[in-house]
Amino acid sequence: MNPWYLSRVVTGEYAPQSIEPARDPFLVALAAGETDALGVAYREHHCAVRAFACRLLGDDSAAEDMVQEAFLALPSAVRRFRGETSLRSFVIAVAVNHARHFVRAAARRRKNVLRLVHEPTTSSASPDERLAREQLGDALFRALDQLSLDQRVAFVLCEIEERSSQEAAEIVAAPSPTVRARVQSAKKRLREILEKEGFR
Amino acid sequence: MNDELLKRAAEAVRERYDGATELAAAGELRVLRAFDRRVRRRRRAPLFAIPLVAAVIASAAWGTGSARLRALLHLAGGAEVTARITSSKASPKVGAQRSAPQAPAPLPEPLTPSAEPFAPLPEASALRKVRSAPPSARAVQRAPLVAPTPSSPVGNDAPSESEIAALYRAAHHAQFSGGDPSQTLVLWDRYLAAAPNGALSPEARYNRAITLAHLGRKAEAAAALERFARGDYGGYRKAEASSLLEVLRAP
Repeated sequence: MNPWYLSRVVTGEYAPQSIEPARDPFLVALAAGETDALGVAYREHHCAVRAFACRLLGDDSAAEDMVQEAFLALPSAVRRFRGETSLRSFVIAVAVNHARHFVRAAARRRKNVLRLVHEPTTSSASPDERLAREQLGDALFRALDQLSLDQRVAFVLCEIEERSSQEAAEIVAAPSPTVRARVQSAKKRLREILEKEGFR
Repeated sequence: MNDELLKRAAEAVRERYDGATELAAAGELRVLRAFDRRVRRRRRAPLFAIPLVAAVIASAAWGTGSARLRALLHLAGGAEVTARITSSKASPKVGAQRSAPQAPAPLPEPLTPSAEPFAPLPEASALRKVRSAPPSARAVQRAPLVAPTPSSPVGNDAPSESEIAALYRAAHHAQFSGGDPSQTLVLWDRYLAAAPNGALSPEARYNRAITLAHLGRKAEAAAALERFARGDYGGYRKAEASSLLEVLRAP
């Protein structure tokens, strides 16, 4: 791979949207499976992908596996990349495509932990604000486990990561109104579940 | 409950995970190594496939060359081979019973050549060895037994496929279950007259040659086996025919 181009990527001058993807040497190198290019992509985007994976799964180790899976799939997936979104969003989209298995595994693990350890479920259980927020976060993940994958991904992208519905739509390859509808359904269901758990 | 609590919950999750990790370098290394392993595995995959593909092609070529594949396909396709076969052993002319449907009948006897079918020739040890596991017998045993349908083709002078199969099985049964060699020869001749170029005709000709040898008609047997030994049927029965010819021509 061209070192000049690598330096552009590292310094942030690289802007995939403005470059014809088929002729973009970085993407060509990535699609060819060059480890240099994959390393650059990892260093550039792993934080965003890991944050998304953790927020989606609520499980660090499952998220780490999902990040690895997404980057391993990236070289073959990037052949379909046409530059409609940023490469970062594209990597997250690849992660979403591999999410189903990891979401199930994380939900299963959470269920097993709950069986062994009885966790307090209401925010009134502790006066400490920080602990209350932790418990609220845990409760949200338990509630997310009860949503469909589409609703879950839409909620995480729009409500937790605060992306626009347009951006989320590009990531999940669905129309914007569909994503908004998924978010609304998810919120309605989450409210019901959290109310049942005693959060008000 | 309003959206406020949901917002706080989302905020709590957002703050909990920012994606930063102290093990980023290790993570990168892990990804790159895993990717490298995957690429190497993919490159090696065709190497494992080559012997497999070669084996399949060689098997197909051998099957085609030796006419066994054709014979097996012929038998597999002949689902209408029926219980009529039993009666056709004694009288292969089964046309009189065609019009009425028949109930399936059991196989007459096992076709395995456990019993010595013929009186051994003076030099027949080689014959016994060759005959010990006739592949066609195994193939015939696998043929499905299905009752004949009333819609079987009738009224033609040319024998139907099921009749030809019945003739073959009758002759084969006679040869490998201790039938009279003279009668066996007649049955092979009937089969070959009905299907001189049938899918099973090479095997029929070979078995007929063996029968001739058992009847002591060595010259005719040798002439028939000569074609196999020469390779007129590809590699089919070539080696067996050559060894039999040596035995037959021995002083």
